[in-house]
Amino acid sequence: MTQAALERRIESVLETVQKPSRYIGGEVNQVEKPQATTVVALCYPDAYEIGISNQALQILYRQVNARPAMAAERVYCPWPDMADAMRREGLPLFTLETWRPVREVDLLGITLQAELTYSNVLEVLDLAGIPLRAADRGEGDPIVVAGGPSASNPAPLAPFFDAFFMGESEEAFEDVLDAIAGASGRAARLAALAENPHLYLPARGRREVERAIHTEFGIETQPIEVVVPYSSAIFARASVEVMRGCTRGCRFCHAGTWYRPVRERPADQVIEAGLAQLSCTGYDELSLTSLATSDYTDVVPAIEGIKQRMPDLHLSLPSNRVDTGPIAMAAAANARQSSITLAPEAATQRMRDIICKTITDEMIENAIEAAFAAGYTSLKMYFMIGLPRETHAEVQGIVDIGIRAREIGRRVLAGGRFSVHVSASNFVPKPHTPFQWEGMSSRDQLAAKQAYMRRAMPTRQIRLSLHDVRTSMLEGALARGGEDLSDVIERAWRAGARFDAWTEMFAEAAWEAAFAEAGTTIDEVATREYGEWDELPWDHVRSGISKEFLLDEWWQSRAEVATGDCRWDGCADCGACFGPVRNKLMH
Amino acid sequence: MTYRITFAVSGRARFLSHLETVDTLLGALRRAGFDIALSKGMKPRPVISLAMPRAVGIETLADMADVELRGDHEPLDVGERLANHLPMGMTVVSVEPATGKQAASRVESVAYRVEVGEDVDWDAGLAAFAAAETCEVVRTAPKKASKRVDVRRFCTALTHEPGALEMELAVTDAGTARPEELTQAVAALVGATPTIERLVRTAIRLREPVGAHT
Repeated sequence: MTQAALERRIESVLETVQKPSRYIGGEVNQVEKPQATTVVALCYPDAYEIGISNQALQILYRQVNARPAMAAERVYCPWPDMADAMRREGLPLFTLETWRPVREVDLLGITLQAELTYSNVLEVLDLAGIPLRAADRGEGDPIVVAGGPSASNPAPLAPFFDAFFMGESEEAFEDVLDAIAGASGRAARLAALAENPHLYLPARGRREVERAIHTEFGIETQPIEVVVPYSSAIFARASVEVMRGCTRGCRFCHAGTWYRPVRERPADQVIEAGLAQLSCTGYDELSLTSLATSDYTDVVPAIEGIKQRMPDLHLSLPSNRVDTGPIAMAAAANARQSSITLAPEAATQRMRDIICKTITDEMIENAIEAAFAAGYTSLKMYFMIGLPRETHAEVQGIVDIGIRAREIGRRVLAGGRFSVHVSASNFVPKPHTPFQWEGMSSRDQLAAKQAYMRRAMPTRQIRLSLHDVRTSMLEGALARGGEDLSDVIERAWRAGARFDAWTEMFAEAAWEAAFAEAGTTIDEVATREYGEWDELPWDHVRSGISKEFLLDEWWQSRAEVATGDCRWDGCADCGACFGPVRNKLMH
Repeated sequence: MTYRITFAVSGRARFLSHLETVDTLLGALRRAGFDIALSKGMKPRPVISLAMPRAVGIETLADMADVELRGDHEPLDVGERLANHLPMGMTVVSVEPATGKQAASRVESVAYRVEVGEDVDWDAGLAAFAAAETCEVVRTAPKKASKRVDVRRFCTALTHEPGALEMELAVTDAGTARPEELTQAVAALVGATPTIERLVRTAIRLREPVGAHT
């Protein structure tokens, strides 16, 4: 089929599907390089509106396109109506920039941001016409590389990828691009990649692989001319990453260990990058992103500098610490915003000590009071249930804080309209965290706790949101699973599983049958506890955080003792700072 | 000051939805350096309205957006700067100051060109359509009950040339007809099912006092 014929047939199919703008490309700041000799397809295996908002792929897009002879093109997982139409019409998966078949590219990079996208990985490969298993691929097939945080446990998807890249791309992925550009043919390229310390090639056996770290974290790697999505994207705003990493040490948090150490950018560079990005995107909102923006040393100068230049700008600060200072900062950053989000994560002091969330009841109450006093009329609070050693007191505590927040709102706002939104997600233990040895809470326990919260939480001025236990259990099973799960994932996909994170799409029966065929269940894998001497499926992946530190933190959680933050309380010897790699703070 | 921007949408950009089209225009205006006026109230929004929503997949030669910009600008300058920042498939036709009621409340009729296969006896169909007092089609929509619509009452002009129908559809308080509905209705009068190859909105006409815009 000629390219022109392919494009005519794609257009014909687009007439028949929902949201065809997901597939057309052509957005502002898209890069087209028809003369490129090496093409890299960057895939987020979910719908366009989810994937286009991912900042990691925007970084990679800029990084690849900075090479004159190399082109980066984007691809997302087609929604089932489009996938069905493509199969019916015999159309291959294509990139957005050129509508080139994905199978024709040199490197297909797939980011693994969440376990519930794993079935979509197989959907993408199949629609592209690329054999699912690396062992079945031939010389003409692209090299298929995984990246992203969920690649930190490569085992469940190992047979489907030629390689897993561990860590941050900005510096170390250059060697991967060199290897792809410098060799031709699949075998030669795989040979060129084999010795890269940040790549795990499953076909060459299990060996130690190190997480790559962007040590300098200079502003030059912050994308400015980002692709501007069509309006359906979940996040349509400019964003500057002010800080990478977090030293808070929350024991459930994968990002908290995976992105250590902390590296900050100077306020003046953040301001210039933000204004430049606003100018070339046309966004009317700027977000200063990080894992905990209120911890960023230069947060106040950055806010003041931006507001001085653009007083009316909608400036958002996600992931704020539960304290009065950050509330005031957020209010100063954006006077128009009516809602604010706090994440106490756990409702009792005992549980906050277990998970190492170093805030007190008093700080939570003060933060709630400060939020209403600052004029916010919608308060959202995030909690988790199913945490290790949880008792009824913790669940009741969430209800109590919801009620207490309502009382404070009624007092501070004195009859004014407001709402409290309590969200409780289900704890899922993740690799490379102190809770990696813990099993998930059982399905029945989670369901019972949710049922209790629904009964006990008043509905007047309080809204309760709970996560789907079914998808949480699957996420738990996939997150800490071994290579034996690859057959399960393939069977589930063949039985129709895809877009598992979308409640209306979740094919529970397909997954249950796939696990049953392997002689196990979702719950058995998800609730499995590992012993401290067990070899874990991801032990060969070196995150930079020592296993001894994780074990120590796990034991500390059992003793219900929180560990201090190394930003203020001294080094806890986690292993992240080593040689040139160190916390890089502004002051 | 409010400006009436007449713009065209073609190629793959025709797959943008109404909301996406609005956001694309707003983004392009901001990139061009214009300060868009915001509505008053708790949640200020950019002051913009399109004269007539465009169904996904339909091209247009002359859609209209009324948008309020802060400051006074030469319409020609607005048009030139905006044109430099629109994505591929969207182009500026003209920009003029908008006075009086917004265009969205004054649409009188919309003209379309429907490119069709010639396997239908269109001349016979048009004759039968002209002779009919009514011509009903069944309109279906997701999550809505289907309903019968007399497309004859909305059609104010209909001609055929090789490969295409040119039509004008009135926009009334009772609604309007869709170009594909009219095409299907005409073909059905001669027992045929049409092949629609391309749909192009060619003009939006406004009621007085501003006069016709084409």
